[in-house]
Amino acid sequence: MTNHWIDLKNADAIMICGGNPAENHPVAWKWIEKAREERGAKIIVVDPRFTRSASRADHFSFIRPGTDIAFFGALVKYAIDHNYINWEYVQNYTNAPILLNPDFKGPWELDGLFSGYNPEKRSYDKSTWTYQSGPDGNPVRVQLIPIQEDPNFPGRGVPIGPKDANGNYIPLEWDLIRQGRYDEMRPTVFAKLAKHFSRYTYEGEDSVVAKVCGMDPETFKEIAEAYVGTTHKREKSGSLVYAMGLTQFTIGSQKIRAFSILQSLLGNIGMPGGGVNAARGESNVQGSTDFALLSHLWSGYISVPNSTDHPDLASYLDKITPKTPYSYWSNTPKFVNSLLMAHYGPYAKEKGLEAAFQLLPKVKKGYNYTHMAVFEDMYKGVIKGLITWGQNPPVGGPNANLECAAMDKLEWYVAVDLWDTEAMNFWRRPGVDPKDVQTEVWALPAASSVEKSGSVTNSGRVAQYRWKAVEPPGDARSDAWIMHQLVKALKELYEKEGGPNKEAITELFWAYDEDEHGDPDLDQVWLEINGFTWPEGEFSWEKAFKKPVFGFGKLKDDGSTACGNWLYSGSWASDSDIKGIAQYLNIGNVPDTIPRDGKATSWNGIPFNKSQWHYQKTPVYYLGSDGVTIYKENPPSDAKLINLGTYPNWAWSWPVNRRIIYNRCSCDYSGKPFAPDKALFTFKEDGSLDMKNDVQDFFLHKDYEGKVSLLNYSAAHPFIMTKEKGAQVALLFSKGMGDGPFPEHYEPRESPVANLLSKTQNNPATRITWDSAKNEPDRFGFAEVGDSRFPYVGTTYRVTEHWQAGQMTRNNSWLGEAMPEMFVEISKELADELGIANGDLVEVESARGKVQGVAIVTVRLKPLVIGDGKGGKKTCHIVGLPWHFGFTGLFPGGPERNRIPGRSYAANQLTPHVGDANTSIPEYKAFLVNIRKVK
Amino acid sequence: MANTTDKAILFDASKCTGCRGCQVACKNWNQRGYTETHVEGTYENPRQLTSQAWMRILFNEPEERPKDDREIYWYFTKYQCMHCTDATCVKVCPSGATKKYKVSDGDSEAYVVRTDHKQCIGCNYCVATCPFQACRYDEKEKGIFRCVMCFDRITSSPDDFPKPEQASPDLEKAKDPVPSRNIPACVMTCTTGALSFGDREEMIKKAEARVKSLKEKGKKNAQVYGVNELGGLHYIYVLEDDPEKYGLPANPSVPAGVTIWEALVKPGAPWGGLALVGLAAAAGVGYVINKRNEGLERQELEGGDK
Repeated sequence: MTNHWIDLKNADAIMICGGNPAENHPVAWKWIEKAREERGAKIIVVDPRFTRSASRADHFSFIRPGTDIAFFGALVKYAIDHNYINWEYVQNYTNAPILLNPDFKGPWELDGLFSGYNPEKRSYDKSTWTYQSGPDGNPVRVQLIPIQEDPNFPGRGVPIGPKDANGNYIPLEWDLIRQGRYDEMRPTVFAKLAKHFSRYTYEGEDSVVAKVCGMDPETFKEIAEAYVGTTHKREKSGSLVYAMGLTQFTIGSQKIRAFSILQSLLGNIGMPGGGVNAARGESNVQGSTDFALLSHLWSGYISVPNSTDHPDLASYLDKITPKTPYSYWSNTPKFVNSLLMAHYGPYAKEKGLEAAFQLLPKVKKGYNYTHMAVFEDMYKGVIKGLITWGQNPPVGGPNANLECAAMDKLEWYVAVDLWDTEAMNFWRRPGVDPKDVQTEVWALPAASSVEKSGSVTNSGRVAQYRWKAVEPPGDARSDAWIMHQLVKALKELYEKEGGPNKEAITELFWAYDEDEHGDPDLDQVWLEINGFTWPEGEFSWEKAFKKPVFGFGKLKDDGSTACGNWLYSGSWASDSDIKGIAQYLNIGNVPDTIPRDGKATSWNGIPFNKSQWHYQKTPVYYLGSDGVTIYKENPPSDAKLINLGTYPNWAWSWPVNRRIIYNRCSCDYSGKPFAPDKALFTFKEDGSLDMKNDVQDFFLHKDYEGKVSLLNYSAAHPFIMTKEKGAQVALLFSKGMGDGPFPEHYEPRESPVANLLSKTQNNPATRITWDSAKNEPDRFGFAEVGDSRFPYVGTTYRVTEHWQAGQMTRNNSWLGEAMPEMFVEISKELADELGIANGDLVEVESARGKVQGVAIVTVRLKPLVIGDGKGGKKTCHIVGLPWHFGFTGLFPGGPERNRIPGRSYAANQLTPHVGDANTSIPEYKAFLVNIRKVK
Repeated sequence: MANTTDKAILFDASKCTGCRGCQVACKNWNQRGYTETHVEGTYENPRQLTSQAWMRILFNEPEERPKDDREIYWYFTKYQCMHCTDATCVKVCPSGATKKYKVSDGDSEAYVVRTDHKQCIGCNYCVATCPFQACRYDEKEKGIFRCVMCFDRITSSPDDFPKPEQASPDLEKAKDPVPSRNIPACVMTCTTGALSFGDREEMIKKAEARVKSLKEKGKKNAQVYGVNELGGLHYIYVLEDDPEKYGLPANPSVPAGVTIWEALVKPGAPWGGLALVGLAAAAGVGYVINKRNEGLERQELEGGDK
């Protein structure tokens, strides 16, 4: 999330697309409802099904799974056509005004492809995806609207131009835009963007929204007006709430980009009540991605080194550090070297950072290490052992039959989980003789969230500590215990027996003290994550606790600091943090220096670990009756109290406890809040900060001290984490994506129709057929376009009552009673066509497997009429399947209950092994199926 | 009519997302067990109130495809004992086991309807006659079960109320209601603000204000339910549409005959006790007798320990 959960209450419109917060994030709905009640926000739900969220929405539209880019593209076109654009934002805070390389070509010219495509490699040469540079080497930024140009920052400044009836500035090229003559415009990012999305039409039955998405064009306009027509206003903001319904596609990443582009045009990013907000599906999935869960990243989103490009530390740092001082990533060497110190401190002190870097394993350049690739390698026999931790591939993995077949080939398998899961029992899954599986399986019982201490980081990037409430049952142990003891045992083993790259393990810095249960000291772990100055002489925690690092700005690149994750640096309370809380709690006699002796982890009951904070102190201000004047204190009696719900002292969020990122964009170029009734900052005359409702995400550069351009400096670089030279702004055109600088609609790998927008059927940059499908097409392959064997579109989802692959909820009888078994949702029309009645047992089949369930026949699904790709129309039926059920536990949902026999157990037996070009996230949400009545 | 000092639960259907947190919280606090269920073509489960399921959420949707997608609805109804002022179950109870209970000292008359299992004779008359089909008999526990409005959380004198046999450990530990506990479990757990608890008059005011605002937003059929039904329910509903679309009876009433029955057979009536059933039948309350038999038969059909 760019914003946070409570902030949803500050929205003036909420778009819920590819997510279902009412069902899957029930607590979130409180804030969504508050936005509607207190701000009159319209709630919009666009989904293949009329969900529980839809039941509470002001506007709802059906959409065919996988066509969101077509929908979002049409929203962008709608914004451009109506001049519903926050031009001051676009001119100053995005790359829209930058001139593009004339050699760059887009899908409108190349039939769905961008320039530089290599069909053999299925990838792009991005050399034409560039800007035009000026004499100073910086990109050329022109005026899209008339501005009083800032002498220090060309192409930026305060707008001076005329406005239209909606209060928006009229762009200089409005006549060309209005007439759709984009080719005659200057070749700016904006002109190409407008040209690109002009193909995403929304008027009438032959429009893209009707023929590709299956949406009613009238409903589309209502939705567009409710969202785009409201939130383009400078004082209004809108929020996108999404989940896996947008991302789990071969074009998943580009869907998010498409909506981000819309949000940027509307001026909704960096605003309270705005942003692009991923509702995470698991309490700590944000935390796990922050801490190197993803195979291409180290902790804190630092690129993993590969053996080809990064033979040594110097070349690695050189290649991954951007050359512009305006990007915060220019500090990368400090982050990397501090991380190396956290991993190999004593070794690095003795032998140097380069030696420590050499110990770390490097990935093979271009090799895919993501979930699907790991299971493909397992199936080929390359991977012989597997540890999964809270993961249940036979239920949750894509193409579950393949993933189980891959597990059959393992020599050993270790599962860490709370319950006896399908994964632990894969060797005796329905249809398999246990004698045929030779894998040795180990199950490690884990403690549940209330049986261990530690923090989770939620969708809003808020890390919150939870204390152990009860002891875990039996042999169950905390995750920290399991990891700690595993590392200790490995170190001992390598010490004794040696092995390849032995020192990587034996020299690993791992000095945590143990408690009486053998759990590592979590305060020491947290201090290491936060960072400390490496002590003189021999290391001791006592010395380390005396010298915490207060923020990643204080990290050093010379090996004098250690930090496990730079993003979490600053989560350890500084003296002034403690003093602030002491004042709030009315604690007197605060010493000048807060004592940090020995193992002190708190002062006067105030924990140093800020994830343990639960103070409700939050900034408030008052808005005068003129709607402009902001009072920090002593408001007149008619002023309105404003509380944005920031709660900065409730737990701690990265980075540096900033709750809304890119927040310089909440103010205009001259520093006035776009929306005074939800202002985050105000500035003084000299450009320094006055009111502050959040931690600023911008620099007030010291070189400009005393000049008004102190303020302009921050406005000129509002997106400090972007890496491009001279353009720390929102990237409407991005070189960072593998599959195109603009989002383009392609069909899912399995689709009932040909792509109507171009001849390029699927994402051209993604791996479309993995080896399993190539070698065994009959078993693990695909349905072809419009395949008559599989005429319907299948999609998977979750229900409130169950969680993920069901380990926790399918063992709870109260939840099982409410949602006892596998079901299949279909429309009344499809049911009538196939003679299926409500409650019948049905079987759904894809090219990869079959699954059975009880039919729920409903009007909440609807046959959509779409273009057939040959100039005619076609009815598209959608089959909905929850993916929680399996074959073990109190409520397996499938065969154990004697209602659903055979080899079927999980919806993911149907889904394919194919994924996104950028992230390899599997395409769970759209595939082709057939359905028949069993009885 | 209901008393001005009464308390009530407000269910605002326009805010309910059907997450069923309340359904589970009810079981947790009241330590109810599991009823075997199957998917029967709807998300709704269990399909009936049982002695183990004192409340459930109804999932209501149109049977046929509406002409316009805007008319598709999925209405969620919290369904349980309504704690009627004019409570049929209290009227028909021959043993006096089913009574209304006071909640706080200030109450002039009580409102929580509850059956004392020690006095319950298992006649099932309340099961047969409840206008909301909310009374459920359990063979094993030998008693009538229904929502007790978390009496043991909300009363100012918790000791007045016998603890359930399988009280949760929380209840055992805490004698005094703590602030978070003095509202019913379902209300406590509701994440969206659909449920609230307080003075009945306040709840009605809140409901009326909400209906007014819903009407202004274009929900023409928005209405309050429960103010006058059966002398006033102690569950007040904000509905966005007609009660039937929420699975609620439009005009619930005490079955004819129950009033006469009450006069003749209730303890304290001149002749007292069940011995007079024959006489009562002769006096023209055959309806109730029939209903009773139906109830007993159904109980038999539905199983339960024999």
